[in-house]
Amino acid sequence: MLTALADAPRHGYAIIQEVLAISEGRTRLRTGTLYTALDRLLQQGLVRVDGEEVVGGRLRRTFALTEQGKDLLTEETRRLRLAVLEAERRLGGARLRPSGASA
Amino acid sequence: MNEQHTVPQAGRRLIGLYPARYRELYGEDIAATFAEATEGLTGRALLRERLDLASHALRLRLRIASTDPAGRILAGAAPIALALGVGESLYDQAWYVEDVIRAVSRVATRPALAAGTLGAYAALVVPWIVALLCAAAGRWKPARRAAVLGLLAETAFWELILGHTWQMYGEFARIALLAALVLLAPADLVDTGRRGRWEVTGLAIGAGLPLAALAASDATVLGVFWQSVPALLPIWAFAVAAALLLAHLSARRPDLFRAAGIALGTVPWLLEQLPRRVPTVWAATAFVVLIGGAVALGGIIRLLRRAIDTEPAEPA
Repeated sequence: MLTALADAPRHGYAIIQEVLAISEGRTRLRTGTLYTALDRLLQQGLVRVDGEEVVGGRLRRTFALTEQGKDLLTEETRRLRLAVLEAERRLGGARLRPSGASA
Repeated sequence: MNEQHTVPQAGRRLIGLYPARYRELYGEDIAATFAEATEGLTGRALLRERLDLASHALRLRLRIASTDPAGRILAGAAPIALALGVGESLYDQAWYVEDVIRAVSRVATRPALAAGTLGAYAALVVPWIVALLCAAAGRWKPARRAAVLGLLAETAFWELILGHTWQMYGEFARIALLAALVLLAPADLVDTGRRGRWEVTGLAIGAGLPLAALAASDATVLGVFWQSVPALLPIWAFAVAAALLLAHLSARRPDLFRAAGIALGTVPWLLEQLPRRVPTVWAATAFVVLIGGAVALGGIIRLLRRAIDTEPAEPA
């Protein structure tokens, strides 16, 4: 969800759509689950209400990352990048190694 | 795309389940998201959306959402209760190993009886094994479903095989509390990280397996010791849970809600012990001494740590 809000503030349904796109269709957040997560992220100070607008006669709230949320996402991205680099390095090493080698 | 979304009747009723204050703040926003998310959905997909929204609303109303202290305590209690449920199942079914071996040996001569025995055994054991595997893999929702199946199988077993006796009230109270803890805990807050998964697995195996091994050997070989194993049960299980509780409490920045949850998660086990297996005072004493001891020791460690941290540095 933090990734879904990384580039722009979004309202509830847009977050659901973004998460679906980012996960390549594997994760479809339901409305109750979305607001459960938003409640917690708001309480933890990782997300804030960015604004309110009336669309089609209905009040919509948009949510955005706070500085703390951005820092957390940056740190998590760095950690994942290191893990991916390490996995690629090892896989590359395994491909170069002759079959049957144990080390 | 048409921006005008009308909330269907069912959606409006569901929004009505939210507490008034929350509904005032987020009701319209949630209603709009729900209307868009359910557009074109039918059947099971629509039912799941509605159940999910109703669950969120009721959690907020009951103050057991993941942002509430009670929700955080329940999230700490549920995996512990599930782990001890697995341990309890391992132990319980170990007593019937001999019957299973006998049933297997009679498959050819009495197939119906063998199938009945093995089927009942599988219905009691398999859901708990699945629950443990799912919890160990960090899949809390399937683990929760499997545990509830295991509890339903246990209820049917006690009801059909043993009937209503006063000794069974503890068992039914345990089943009800365990189901409540597992179902009411906010799934998004249950620790499915590496530490949480290790804790569930370690607690289930640590609490159940040694006693299951003893019970199995009792049931098959060491008949003379059969009374000693049930007496060990509360002490051992509470000792393993107390070690986990102490580890949490003595951490540098302990999560006190989660620690309270760990203590709460052991209560179903206590309820089960009370009337059936051992004298009430024995199980209750084991609970108070071991769980209470862990809380007291954890408190002392915190106080000592605080005293050391606030001690003024020696002048150079």
